[in-house]
Amino acid sequence: MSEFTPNTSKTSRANIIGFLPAIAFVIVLVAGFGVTIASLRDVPETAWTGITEPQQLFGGESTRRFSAQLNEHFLLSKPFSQIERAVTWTIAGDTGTAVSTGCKDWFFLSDELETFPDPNNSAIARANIVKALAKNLAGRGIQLVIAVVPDKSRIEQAHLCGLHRPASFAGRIDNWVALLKQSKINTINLEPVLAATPGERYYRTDSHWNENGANAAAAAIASYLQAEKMQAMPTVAPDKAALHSTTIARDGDLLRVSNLQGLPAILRPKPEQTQLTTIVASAAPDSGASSNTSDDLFGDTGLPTVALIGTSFSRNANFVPFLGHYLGAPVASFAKEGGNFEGSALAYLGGKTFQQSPPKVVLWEVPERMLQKPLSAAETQWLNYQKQMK
Amino acid sequence: MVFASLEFLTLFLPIFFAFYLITPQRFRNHTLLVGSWLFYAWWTPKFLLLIIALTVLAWGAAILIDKAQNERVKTRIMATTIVLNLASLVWYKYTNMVVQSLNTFFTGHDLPTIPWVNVMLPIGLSFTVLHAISYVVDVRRKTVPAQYSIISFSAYMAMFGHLIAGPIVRYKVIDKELRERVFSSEEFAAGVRRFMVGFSMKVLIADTLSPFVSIAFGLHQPSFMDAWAGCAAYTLQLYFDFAGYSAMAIGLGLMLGFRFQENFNNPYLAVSIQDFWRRWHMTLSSWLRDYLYIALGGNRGGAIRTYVNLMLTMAIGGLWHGGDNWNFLIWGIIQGSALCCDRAFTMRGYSMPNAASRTLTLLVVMLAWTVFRSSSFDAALGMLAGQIGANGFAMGDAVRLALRPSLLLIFAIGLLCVIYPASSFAKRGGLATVGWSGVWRAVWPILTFVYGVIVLAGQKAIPFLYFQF
Repeated sequence: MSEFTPNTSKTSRANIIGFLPAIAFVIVLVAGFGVTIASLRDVPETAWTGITEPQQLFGGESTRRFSAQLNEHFLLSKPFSQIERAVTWTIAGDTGTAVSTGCKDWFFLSDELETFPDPNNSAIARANIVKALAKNLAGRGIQLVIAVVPDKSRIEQAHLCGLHRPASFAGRIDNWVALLKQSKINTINLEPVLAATPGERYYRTDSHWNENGANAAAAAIASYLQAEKMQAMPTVAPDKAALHSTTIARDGDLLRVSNLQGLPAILRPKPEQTQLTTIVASAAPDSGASSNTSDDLFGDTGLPTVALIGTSFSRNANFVPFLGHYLGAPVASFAKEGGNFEGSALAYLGGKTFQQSPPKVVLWEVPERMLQKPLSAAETQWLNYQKQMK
Repeated sequence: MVFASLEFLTLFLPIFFAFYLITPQRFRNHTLLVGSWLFYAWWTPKFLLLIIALTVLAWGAAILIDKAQNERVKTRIMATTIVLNLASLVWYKYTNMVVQSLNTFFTGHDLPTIPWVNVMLPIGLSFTVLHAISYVVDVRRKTVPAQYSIISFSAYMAMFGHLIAGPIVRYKVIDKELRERVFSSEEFAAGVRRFMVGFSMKVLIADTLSPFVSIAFGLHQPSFMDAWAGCAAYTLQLYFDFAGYSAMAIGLGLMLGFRFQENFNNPYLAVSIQDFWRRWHMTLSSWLRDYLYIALGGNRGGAIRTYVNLMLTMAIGGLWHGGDNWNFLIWGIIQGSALCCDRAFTMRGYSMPNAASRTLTLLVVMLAWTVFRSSSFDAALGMLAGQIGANGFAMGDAVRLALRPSLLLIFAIGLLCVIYPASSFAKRGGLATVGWSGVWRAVWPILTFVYGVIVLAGQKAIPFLYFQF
């Protein structure tokens, strides 16, 4: 305190410096008050419903709700969180909790590296969900095929640069695939395929496979479906001329997740140069019969026979067009962004489309990182439902 | 409401200061009281009634003591007030734990359990009780005059700077300022600087370490590295959280014209456990000394009695911290045992080099923090087992993943802040020796405070650790 006591001889400069924190503090308080009032105007009226009820007021619920609304609608939250990331990224190379950094310009989803309690039981429970579903679908003449997508940190381990991937993850795909195969579930492990594919198979700044990886995976799945006679071999080989590639600059989803995307170009990682392919859509599957035959009463011969469910892997890097290209037939995709293990499966299987136009094959794309996660409430409910139906 | 929150910084504080500054001098305690009650009521308004009841009890008891002619009557009034205060503390803080322990015992012996709905602990009750007891005892001891103004006394008890988590401000410390204080721009500026420093300690260091600590202390079988990394992070987190809070409280006090006592003095540089308690939560340790240890007889009853008193004081001090489980009692017993050993060691004339005694003291403190932080006795045993290497040495997957670059940086900064006062550079005068300390001392709190506000607004507020006590 004594540092700010007026000293007659050393005078005004020291005084002004001593008062700088107070000036800054008052500015922050006043400006903060203004922003808070403006932010509160953005809160929808419905959010305040019942806030003045005596029971809510007296028990502290009203103030808790008020604080929650203020924090949620605070106008500067987004730019401030971006400033924070700019500082931690610039000073320490930090990408936040959701994203981990490997070699230069290589980012990985932390979810892939996270260990969970009771991992084996979670994986077994998910295998049981799949088994029960396969049995159920088989009863309706539909085949289920599971395609397991390996983690980026597994396939691109050469770019981890010391980023730790738990040793216990080594066998998590093989073990799960073995569980399914024991029950004669059609399962494709995409790990060997992607591992054997030359070049980069995943985007550097994205959690998903790139076109190189998606292409290889699609070719392997198509080969499997054709080899197992779930899908007719196309009468003509896939036309390479149907693929037109260019190179584009691209920011991956991990830049968005880590909040680096909005930073000035000088601060953030350089955009990634990636391949973008335009694929001429496949014609309707050629089953060898004319679509005008008397069997095709409702013209449904042209409907896709493969329904794809899964996650954002299926919605990225032209995976579906690649798959359709190799199958020589369109694929109906019901995959969901952020759908987790069960999201798109529950939405599709419980929906009208499935009930009214069931496919011949349900192809379920499952990312490795979801296998050992604790079951969500929806998954537990699904599992219990399946048990009751036995 | 917590200090490090948007609602406090951008709503409560500007409005409060606006009213406070336009209030005429003689009514400022009124404004302070209303503001403090609103601050408290933000959490759970119904518990404000309890705080008011305890305030009126202490205020009335002090007046009765002051007016009573008979010494025995004075003592009885004091004793009754203490019992009632402690009763409220016991009811709200320990009943859940006692009933749960009994039910565990009953379940193990196939006996019917006690039907029980957990009692919610009113925030800041522990500190209110200590304030009330010290005031009534001081009036009885005639070390402070009774305050006849209910407004002034309520303003003392409810003052939002110290109400929730200390420091424990004894009435005699601010008696004069309660009666009359003038606004001083120099003190306001000094208070702001102190608040900024405390805010930065809390938001930038303690809150950054918080998720890592939760992960480490949540492990079932932590390795040696996991357990020590978690313990070290908690050692820093607790200090920067609580010392940060105390600095904010002291700063707010100064802004309003009150001079609270210091609560921390580089505790992790202590050369003995006794020294540690002279540097850590100083207002609590001096409270325990003056109102418990001395009341028990202190060191006036011979060696054995002194050791018993030390153990009792620290055990009760430990118990005061927590009503969730028995770990706080165990922590207090560990501290009491360490104090007894320290005393026995020094009484026999032994000594050790500073570096060794500092290291040993810090080791004991950290092992005790392990018990203090663990969620249960079993969890504490698990962490301690990890600390002796019973679960292997290598760092586990979860801890490795959690060790992000910014966490390591903050850990290093925190460590540097703790060690800096012991460095020869600091002892030689620090930045003053390079000639730019004046500017730097004013500018760095602004930078860290503004950045702290940015961080705070970009994420959720994390409550102070000492709120639970």
